[in-house]
Amino acid sequence: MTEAQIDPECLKRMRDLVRNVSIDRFKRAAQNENYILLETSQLKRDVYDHWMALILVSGKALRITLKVHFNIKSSRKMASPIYGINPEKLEIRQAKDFIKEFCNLSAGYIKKIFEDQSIDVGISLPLVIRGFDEVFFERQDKESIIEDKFRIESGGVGVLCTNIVEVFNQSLLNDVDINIEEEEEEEIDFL
Amino acid sequence: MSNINQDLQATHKILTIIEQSKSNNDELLDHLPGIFCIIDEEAKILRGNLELSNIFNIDLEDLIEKDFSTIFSKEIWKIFKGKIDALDGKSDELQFELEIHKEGDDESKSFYWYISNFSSGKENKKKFYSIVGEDISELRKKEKQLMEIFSSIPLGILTIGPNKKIEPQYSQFTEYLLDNKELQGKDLESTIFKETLEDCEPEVREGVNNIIGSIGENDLIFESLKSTFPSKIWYPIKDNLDGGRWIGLTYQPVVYSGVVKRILVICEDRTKIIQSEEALKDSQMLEDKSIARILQIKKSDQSMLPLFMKEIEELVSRLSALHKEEDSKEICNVLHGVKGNARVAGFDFLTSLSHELETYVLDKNKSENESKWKDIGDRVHDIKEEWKEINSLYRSLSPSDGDQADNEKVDSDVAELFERYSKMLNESSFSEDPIKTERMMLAIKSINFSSIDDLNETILHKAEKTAEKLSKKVEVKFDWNSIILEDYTKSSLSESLLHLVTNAISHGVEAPDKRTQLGKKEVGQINIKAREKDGMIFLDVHDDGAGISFSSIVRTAVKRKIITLEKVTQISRSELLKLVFEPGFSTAQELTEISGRGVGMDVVAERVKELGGDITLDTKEGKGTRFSMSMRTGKKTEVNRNVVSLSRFKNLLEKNIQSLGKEKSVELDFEKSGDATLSKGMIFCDMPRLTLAVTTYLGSYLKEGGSYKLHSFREGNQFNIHVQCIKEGDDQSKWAEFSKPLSFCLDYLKKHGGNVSITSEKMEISFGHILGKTDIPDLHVAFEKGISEDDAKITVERILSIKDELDLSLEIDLKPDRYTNLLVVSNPSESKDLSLTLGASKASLQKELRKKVESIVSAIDRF
Repeated sequence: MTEAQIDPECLKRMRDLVRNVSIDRFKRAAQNENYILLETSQLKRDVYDHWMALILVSGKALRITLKVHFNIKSSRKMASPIYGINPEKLEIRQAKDFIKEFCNLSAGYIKKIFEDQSIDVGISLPLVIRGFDEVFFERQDKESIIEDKFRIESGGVGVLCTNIVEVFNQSLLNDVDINIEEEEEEEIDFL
Repeated sequence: MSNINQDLQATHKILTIIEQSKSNNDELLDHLPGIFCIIDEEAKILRGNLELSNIFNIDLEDLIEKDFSTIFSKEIWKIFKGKIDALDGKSDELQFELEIHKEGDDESKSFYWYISNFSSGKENKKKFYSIVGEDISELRKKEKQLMEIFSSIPLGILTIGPNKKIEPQYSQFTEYLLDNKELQGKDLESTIFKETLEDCEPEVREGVNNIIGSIGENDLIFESLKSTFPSKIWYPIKDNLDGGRWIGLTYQPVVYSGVVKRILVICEDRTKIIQSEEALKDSQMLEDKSIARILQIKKSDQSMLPLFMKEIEELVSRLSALHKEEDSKEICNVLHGVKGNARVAGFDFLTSLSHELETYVLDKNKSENESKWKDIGDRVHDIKEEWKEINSLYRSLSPSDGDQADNEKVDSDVAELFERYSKMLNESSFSEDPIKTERMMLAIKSINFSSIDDLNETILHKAEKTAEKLSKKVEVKFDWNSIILEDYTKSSLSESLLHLVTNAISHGVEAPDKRTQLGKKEVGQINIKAREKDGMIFLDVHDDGAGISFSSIVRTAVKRKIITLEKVTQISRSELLKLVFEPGFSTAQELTEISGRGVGMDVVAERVKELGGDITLDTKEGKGTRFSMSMRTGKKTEVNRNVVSLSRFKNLLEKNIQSLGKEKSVELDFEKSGDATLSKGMIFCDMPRLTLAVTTYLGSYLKEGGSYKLHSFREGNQFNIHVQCIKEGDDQSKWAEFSKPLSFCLDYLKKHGGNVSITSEKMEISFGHILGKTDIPDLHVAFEKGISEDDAKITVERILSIKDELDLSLEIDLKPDRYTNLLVVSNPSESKDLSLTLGASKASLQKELRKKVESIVSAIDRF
């Protein structure tokens, strides 16, 4: 299918899927229901934060790039309830791992949703790189691509997510149910 | 595990490694020394490092999106902005130094900034900039400390930068040293070397160019060129007491990767050092000259050196007077004499000075005006100063055992003078002018007799040097049988021979190649031959050179107005050749120190004549020239022992004293009261010498312009002269010759049984050997063998006629063998005075008388 044939509504539905998964998984990762999603689509920067975690979900139907911009200070705060220690005592690695895990959880859940609806996708390893590397991500004005930007935060602490969804085959996605089911809480296993 | 899973695992692994690697690289960037950041065109920090966060006390993670412009002050940001704007998409990197000041800090810090464009690789037009700031504050602090140290070091230290200009940082002393406060950014040619290059040798200019040229070149090139860099320059400075400074320069390259980036130049004020070096050089030169003079004195023929010294002294002492009189001719003669003596003595400096002045005086291109005579005066002064130095060194080198040694030497001088002129003393002319005789004797310089062979080395040396200078080959041969000469003659001869030999080489002997062309041997021959006969020496100096051209003799003689052209046709060949000895004659084309200028041959001729000789010349064109000279050898003559009547002796002595008084403008009053005691008797002595000794002593006492009373009388066997000073006179230096031989005279008087005592008021001279009948009783007259009977008869009558006068008791006996106490008569010719000598026969004498006679004889003989 050519670019011209991707329905903007489909792109929006996929965007929303990613949003919903992100906020949901973050609450799980942070074990905090108080996190809310804030609209930041008007925010225009070259670099959003010091660190950037990213993970890919990719298949024949679409590719989703999840990028989470964070700083260690905030991450520590967000992760400390999980480790049960003061944020200052958390190592940088642990703070990074928290976000990485969030990425993993998000990408994993998106994959499950698609696989449950017979859409095969694969996910990459989550990587943490510098937020500065955002400048190397080229903005592409394609009709098959939709970029999303939002913030997940609670009590002034949070992360900024900049996601890119590129749809390759809309037909495969037309019937995808993007609602998220309630799941039992699981022990989070950090990498 | 399926293949896909394995692939995935492998991919995951590599991703992990890449993540770690990237993390490490980011860490490196974080920990970069100095400030590192990347900003966008709105000055938002997109990436920063720890140093940036530390300096501005901002958390590393909080740097993101921080406004770079707010970190610094407005002024500093303005500068940054300007630099950033200047980049304008260029790929260059901007470098500049800028201090940054944090709020709350007292000090600002020096940073060296590098700004360049940063590309994200994306196609959008957004601009990013990489900023790196190197903290050089410590470096600047150390530089400042070093500059403070440099400022206290009295050295000018500066660097020539890659742009070949003087860099901003240089020591404060440099400004003082170069009297220039605006050195920064200037080049060497317009600062340090400005004056040097105005009028310099090409090598100096090349050296300066090499300094500039070596910047940017390989350091090996610098090392190879370094020796051409000027190491010392005279730097003029207005209002400086010395007019400027001597600046010593040293150079050090500052090398990066084998390339000379800049040159460190160290300037040192070496004015005092160089002035001291020059003063030392001057004093060393003076010392070297002194040493050279000492060596010259030492190398000189020691037996003849006193002669040279005295000759030169007399000549040099005349120069001032001649200069005042502006007598060019006489000055030249004197200078020629000085030069000749100095040359033979080996006094090179004096020789040169004399030669130069002689040339100057004779230079017809210089008109005889006040300026020329002033120059001559200055040069005369130089000669006198040089002579003074030589004299002073000579005196200090000569043995000085007090006056005694001097007197002994002088006494022996005078003793020899007496010997040499004994023949003249016997002549009657002596009695007429004893002063003249005396002076002539005292003016004689010779003290020794020595072999003529001593001249060989001197002549050979001179010939060798002359030939070498003229690139000629010469062989000198001597044939003179070790003839013995007295030193004055030898000295005059030496000078003359040297002149003839140098003349022969410079004018006679041809150059080697020309000689070969002429079929002669390459080496010119000069033969010097001498023979002695009857107290005369006959010398030949013969060369096989070109001979003297008759036409050139004629031409020169006419040109120099020595002879008219008309006269030339009337004179003989030998007379023509004699013209060469005329003053001012020279056929030399070029006047040099070596060849004469017509002054030489006439002086040679004069010297030969002084010694009672003559010089002639014969020549054949193409074959050679022969100079023939003759002169007295000056050998010893016999000592005289005479018996003289007392009255005659007294009259002669008085006459001599009167002449002396007249000469010295002394008033003499002869008291007559003692005359009666001196009317009879005889005195046994070497009369001329005794008279001379007495007169000399008197001459030293009687002062010019004074007034004296003289009283002569006999007391026992002693002849007494008492001189009383009525009015003291004042002698001038021209009477100095009287003072010299006094101890000799005294000794002579003592050997005649006499003495001298002197006070300021009076002088008493006494001498003995007055003999009368009581001293020599029964004196018999005997005659020398060979006398005729008639002569004997006349002589006897003459003796008897003066018997009373002689106060003798004698008998005439023609058979001397049988008698003692003989009065031997010699030369009984009527035309001459009787020459009476006291002697002894073979028979025994009365012991006492014999002793007396022998003591008198031996005393006189000793002289």
